[in-house]
Amino acid sequence: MVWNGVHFNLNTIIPWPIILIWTLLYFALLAWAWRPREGRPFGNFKTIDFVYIALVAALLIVYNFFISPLIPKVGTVTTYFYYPIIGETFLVMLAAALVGKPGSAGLTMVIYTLLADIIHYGFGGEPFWFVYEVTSYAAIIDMWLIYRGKYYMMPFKGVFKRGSTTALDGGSSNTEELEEELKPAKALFIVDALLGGITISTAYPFWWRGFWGPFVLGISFTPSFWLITSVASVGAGAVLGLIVAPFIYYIKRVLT
Amino acid sequence: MLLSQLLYNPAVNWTITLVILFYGPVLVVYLIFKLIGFQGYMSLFRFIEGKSVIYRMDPRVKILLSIIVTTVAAITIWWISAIMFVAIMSLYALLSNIKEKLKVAVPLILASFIGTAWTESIFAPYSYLHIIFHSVTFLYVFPQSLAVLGITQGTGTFYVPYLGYVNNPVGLTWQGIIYGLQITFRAVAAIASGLLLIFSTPPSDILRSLEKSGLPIELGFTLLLAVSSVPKVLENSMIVLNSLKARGVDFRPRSKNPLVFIRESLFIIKVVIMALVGIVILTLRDARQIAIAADIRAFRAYRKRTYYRDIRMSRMDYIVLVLLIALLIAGIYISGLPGMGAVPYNP
Repeated sequence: MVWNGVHFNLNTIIPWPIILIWTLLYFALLAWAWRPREGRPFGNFKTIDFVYIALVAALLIVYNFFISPLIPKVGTVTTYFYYPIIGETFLVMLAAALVGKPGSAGLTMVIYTLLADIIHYGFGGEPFWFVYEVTSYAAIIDMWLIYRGKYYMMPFKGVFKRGSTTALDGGSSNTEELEEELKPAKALFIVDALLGGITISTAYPFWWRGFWGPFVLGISFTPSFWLITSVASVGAGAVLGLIVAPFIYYIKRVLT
Repeated sequence: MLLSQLLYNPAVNWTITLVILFYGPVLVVYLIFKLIGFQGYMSLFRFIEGKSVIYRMDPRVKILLSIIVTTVAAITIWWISAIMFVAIMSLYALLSNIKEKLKVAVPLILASFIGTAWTESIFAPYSYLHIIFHSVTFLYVFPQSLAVLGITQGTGTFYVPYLGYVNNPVGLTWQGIIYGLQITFRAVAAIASGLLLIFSTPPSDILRSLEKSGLPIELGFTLLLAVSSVPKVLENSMIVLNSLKARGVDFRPRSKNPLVFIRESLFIIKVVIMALVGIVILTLRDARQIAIAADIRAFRAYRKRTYYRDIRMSRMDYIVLVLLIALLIAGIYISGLPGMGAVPYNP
């Protein structure tokens, strides 16, 4: 059976139950992150967050359809180390860093995919390409954002300390409030970079070749090719994540 | 004999192989950059008003056209996709400023043909080609070591022009080219219908139609802002890339020495990252002002919004809708007829 270009081929390297569980887990996270507040969906998000996501999605379109093809590609290298993904790595991590809320990377990928479908790819294969894009490129970053929040891609972490508030007359009041204090966390900054880079670099070789490509298009890959390219992409992602990290930190400091 | 010795001299063989391996991507890049260019891409996002029937159609019907064309193309034989592709391209005659539209659409469509035919001519698995075409002809044989890259490798003995009989050859196949062209028709019918939607509908109408289909206002706003920001991002990109060119940066590695070529390529990657930082800062600098502007227009203050111009389905939209449903039913029926199903991806 084929519907809207989807072949529903379940003869895939990654078994479909794993994909199903992963997708359900991530969608549960999104349902929590995008839960309505005061009757408004995306209750945690502010207007500026939507603006950042929109602008990064526009940048992603320009990068993927215009700047990325400018980068010379050597097939024997790009199969194992797809360096043009650096732009996507940079931009998705930047969106997550600027918004700093779980679900921001997922929302960026939703907007980018919708836009790419409208201007270039068409809606063939949908809604599965949406599921692929958010679960592969954004899920791990969004999960990590639950812990890192607004400090994602910054060499700091917030530590809450008890502090007494100062009364208007200058004396100390009885009420105690939690104050957030910045503490250096270079190791966490490196983990941010590694997780972001590896997530985005492995999306195509691991998730697409392992499940989504065969499932939607019906094509097939040998398990050894899938394994080798997936392992190689972990190394590539680590390198790319570390390269883009200082730039993201710099931009975040400039803009926020 | 002489031609055989020339074509399969190891140095010549490697050179021809590398040219074949790279000509597809190079041609695609050439088509996109030389024929479309920045201005062409910007015209994708700048709607120009028209008065023909295609402009008056409901955007939801045009989105449905794209979905049904993709579905029918995916399930039927390649020449039905080709007919649908030609039919959609004929609708382009209803667009205003058609020359400019075709200047963008034709290179994108050609790039798809060249890209897919190139990929399949050397990468289509032999087992697929054998099942679909029953026999496979190798047009040119590459060095055997390239089999590890996943290039098509025959099983058994094959006659190769100017070389004779070869065991388990690795290389370019005629059936791979045909297979690539056939499956491209699926993609180009979808691309042509998607571009038709973009060319004939203002972005705000597309988004309003998506909102009417249940898309939350937050997503609609984000999408509309993203669409309207693309020309600005392209302008920023042009400013940054032109300033780099003015300083003597060359975006193409030109050296024939492999080591220098790699060094030049790494330098280009470095320059692209640096350029990206400039483009990103130029683009995101205005974010706060945009957010304030949206907030003072009561963005998200009320769930229900009013519009200056509402979208309603007309009688013509219903007629087109019926025709599209008929096309879908016909497509499903035809795909079940012997020999009329799609060229399989996974035979």
